[in-house]
Amino acid sequence: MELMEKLGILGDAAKFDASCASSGSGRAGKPGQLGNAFSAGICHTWGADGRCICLLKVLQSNVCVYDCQYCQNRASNDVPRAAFKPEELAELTVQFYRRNYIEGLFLSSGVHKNPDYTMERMIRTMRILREQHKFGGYIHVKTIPGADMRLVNEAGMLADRVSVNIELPSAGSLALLAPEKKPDMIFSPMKGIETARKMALEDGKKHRNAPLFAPAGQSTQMIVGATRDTDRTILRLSGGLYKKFNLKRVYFSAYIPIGVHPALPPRETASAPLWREHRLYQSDWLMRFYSFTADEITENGELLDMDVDPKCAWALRHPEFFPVEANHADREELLRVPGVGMISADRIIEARRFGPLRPENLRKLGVVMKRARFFLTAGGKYEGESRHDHPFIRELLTDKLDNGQLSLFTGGAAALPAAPAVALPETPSFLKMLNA
Amino acid sequence: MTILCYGSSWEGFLTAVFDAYNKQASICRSADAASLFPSERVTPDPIKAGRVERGMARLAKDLAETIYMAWLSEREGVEDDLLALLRLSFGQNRDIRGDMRNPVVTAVTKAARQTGWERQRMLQFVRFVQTPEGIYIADIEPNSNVLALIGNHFHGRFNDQRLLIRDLRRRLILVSQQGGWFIREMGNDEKLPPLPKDGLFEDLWRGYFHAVSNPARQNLKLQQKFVPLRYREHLTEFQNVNR
Ligand code: SF4
Repeated sequence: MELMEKLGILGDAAKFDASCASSGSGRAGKPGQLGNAFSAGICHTWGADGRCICLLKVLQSNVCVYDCQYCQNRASNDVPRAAFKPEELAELTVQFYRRNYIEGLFLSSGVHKNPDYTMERMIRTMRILREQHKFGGYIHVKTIPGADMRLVNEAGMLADRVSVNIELPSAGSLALLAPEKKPDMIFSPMKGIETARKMALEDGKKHRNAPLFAPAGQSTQMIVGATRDTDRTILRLSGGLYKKFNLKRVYFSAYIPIGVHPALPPRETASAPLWREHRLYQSDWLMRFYSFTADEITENGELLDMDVDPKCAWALRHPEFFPVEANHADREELLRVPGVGMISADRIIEARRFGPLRPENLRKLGVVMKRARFFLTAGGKYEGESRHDHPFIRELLTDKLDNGQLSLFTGGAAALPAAPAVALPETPSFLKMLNA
Repeated sequence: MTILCYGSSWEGFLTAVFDAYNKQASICRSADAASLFPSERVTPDPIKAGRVERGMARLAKDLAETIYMAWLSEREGVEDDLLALLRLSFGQNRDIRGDMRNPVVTAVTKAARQTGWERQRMLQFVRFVQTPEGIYIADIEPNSNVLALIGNHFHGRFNDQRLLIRDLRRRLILVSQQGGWFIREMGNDEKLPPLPKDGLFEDLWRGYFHAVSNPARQNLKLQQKFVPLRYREHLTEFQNVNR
């Protein structure tokens, strides 16, 4: 098969994986070695879907013996199949890298023959890159559920980031749609990776040349909208994962209807729940950088408010907290104000050392006054409307969509797919399993 | 009022700041024939430039860096904003960059950020093509003069490759090879050889680029926000004809 055709198939087959970050690994280039890792990550281009491309994201193989219903590579699906030879994929990565197309490789795979065989092929590719090509760029590898822990460890020694995808946010959904995958096949490698990473960090403190283990940490992904798992379930599970396994990122991927299983949203009617995915990312951001908790964000119900972003939604629910005074609020308080970000909060704190701030200064500091004016005063001056009843402000804060595809969504709360034609089995939640 | 024309060098600019400091003056690169005011040529003077640099260092370690970044933006009038900022800072004898209430501070911050952005964009968007001799060449036309800011990155990353990055707008060439990198100005009548023709990997990259975009989520507006049109001429994945 032509390389072009292979790359087409195996790139296309990998595109449902949402993560593409190349951040978190800072490694200087060495003479005679190709490449380095830039700790802030570099996106090299953006596709027609507006998503960043920073790694060559491909599958080693899209042949798969499993039959996960939400996945286009499932065994029962009739799609063209292909597989890269390790040498071939390593060469392609290096050639792209040398032209500055990419930061490195994102390697995943369907389960070719069995999990161990698949992992071995992936490890082989990484080994050729690191050892023969002296490749010092970024590698993100997705482990194969069910692979031997020894192989997962080997992968972690070669890669910058390792991920184990949860895919479905609850054990019930998993049992229904991906019966070959057991929760334990996901959580025990996660735990193993975290343990190995911690140990490598400890060793690194003692000896300078101790080998690294996934220095950019681990991440995971969940599919949104294929099942009836709610936003609260998803966010609480994310919160738990950040805490328990120190995950660097949890990615969300809006389900694009491809399957035909009776428990999945039907192909014709469902559109990808992109807006929900967007709100989940906003919430995740608040949890990681603005010290919001999953419970605070979802205190109002199982589903996020689709009209206003989660920070505005929280502010509207907490009139007792506002207005915040820009001239003496602390950073934590400023960060709760819609329209004030981390940069503008720091600038406010810096600028007010030079003298009192007035409302007209705030815009210059990067505060988005369109939202902030309802919640922020400067020198006691309030620039919001004279009316400040809840529905009125809410209306002004509602995201007005001009983008055709996002406006597919209408209505105040997220819509879950219709109840499945088959009943979900009763199982404990992932969060409970995590904390058990 | 006098207009001080310093040419194009950083040292020349600092000299102009020194000369302009105590008088009514405006600083620019080259004289505008239509200007009402008399203009004076400034000759770069390392002693004057050094005094301005030390003055900045006394106020804050990284003040010179902000000034340099803003200066590299080559925004119209940036020299006068910088002069105003330095007058204020030296006058108050403190680092006033945090005082974003002041319009001069915001103007300089903006200019410096433009350069920072443009540098980042070049780390993202430089695309090399390989010549038959094995040299990797890229053409760029950045808004800010960022070549000097990307040399370390590309040299460090591709230290076993011979690289040329050509800033077509300013006729500058960054040369990186084993042992180090430098920037040279192109001679007045030096012609740029055209980039080599695309090969297999250019085609593969374009094929990949189109294969991974998800048609169910097409969003060209968002794409354009991240990859503004003005960069696309030099981006392999947006070219569809062979050169
Ligand atoms: S194991 Fe992975 S590739 Fe195979 S069907 Fe399941 S999700 Fe798809």
